[in-house]
Amino acid sequence: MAEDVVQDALLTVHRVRHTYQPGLPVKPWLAAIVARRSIDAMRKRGRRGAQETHNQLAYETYADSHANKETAGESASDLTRMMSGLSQGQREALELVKLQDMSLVEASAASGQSVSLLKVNIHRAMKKLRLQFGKGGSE
Amino acid sequence: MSAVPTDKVVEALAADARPVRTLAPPLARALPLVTLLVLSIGLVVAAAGDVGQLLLRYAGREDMLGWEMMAMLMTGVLAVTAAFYVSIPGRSRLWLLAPLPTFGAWLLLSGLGCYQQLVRSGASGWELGESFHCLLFIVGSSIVIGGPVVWTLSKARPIDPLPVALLAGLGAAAFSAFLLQFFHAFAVTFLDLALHLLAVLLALGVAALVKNRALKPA
Repeated sequence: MAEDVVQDALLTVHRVRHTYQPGLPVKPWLAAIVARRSIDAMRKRGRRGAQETHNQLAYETYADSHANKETAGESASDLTRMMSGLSQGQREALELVKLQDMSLVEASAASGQSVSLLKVNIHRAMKKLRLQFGKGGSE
Repeated sequence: MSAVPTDKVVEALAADARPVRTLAPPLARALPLVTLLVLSIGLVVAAAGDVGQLLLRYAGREDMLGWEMMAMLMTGVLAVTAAFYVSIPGRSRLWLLAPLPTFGAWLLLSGLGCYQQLVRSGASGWELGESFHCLLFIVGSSIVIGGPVVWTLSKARPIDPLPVALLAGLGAAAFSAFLLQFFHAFAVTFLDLALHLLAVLLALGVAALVKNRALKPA
């Protein structure tokens, strides 16, 4: 970053060299340019930092579907185990709406659960899975 | 880590470093422009302004009106001059404060004038005059006055354009408010004053919006 600021300051000195008043000390003129470019660089880094988050899993996950084969089985068995921890109604609601992409009305007709019961079951199931996933992730 | 080594950047810049004409000192650039602006305003007032009506409107408080208008004019002069100083790297940042005392005096004296108007005319002292026209006048005139100011300032390619743009905007708005006095057919109430202030803020907002395009910062 320091080298970027130096280069940026050099470019700025080149662009505004006509504003230097011969006879006046050069130090305040140069210091003001370097200070401004340092502030700009820090603001830029601050803005970028505010927009990006650090994802620890990103180092282990790759776009290539074959790249994650070693952990894929493990993840599938984890998911099966977590799903078995759900009640029959919650599992059914999650499978129909989230995995088979059915609308709430279609899922209600298929399962016999009312729409509001489906919503409650999905909400509770997601909450339970999130909790278990969090526990698994921290292990 | 930079893509290009710094010594290569230095070499490239040195190869491109043709002699340039040095910019004149800030005061030497600001003075002719400010003089030109004041003369232009004088010409407009002489051609179309109504000084008699202005004095009639402020009968009994000419002194305060004189100070109020002096504060507007000085805010314009000081803000534009300060913008020229702030646009040059290494010049004192205290120039940012230069127009504030006169700007404060302008608001204070205008407020006092409004208060006197309220005391004199009772509830009607709160009414809104034709201030929407004043708002358009100040914003429109600020754009006309601010144009040459910003164009001249852009020669310095200011490295920190926002304060330069705000000072130029304040200067243009102050000159516009001064000019408005000669086209203002009614006494100013508090609501009118609030709209005048809004017009100044709008001029500052426009200046901040166009700063990168107009000032061509380095």
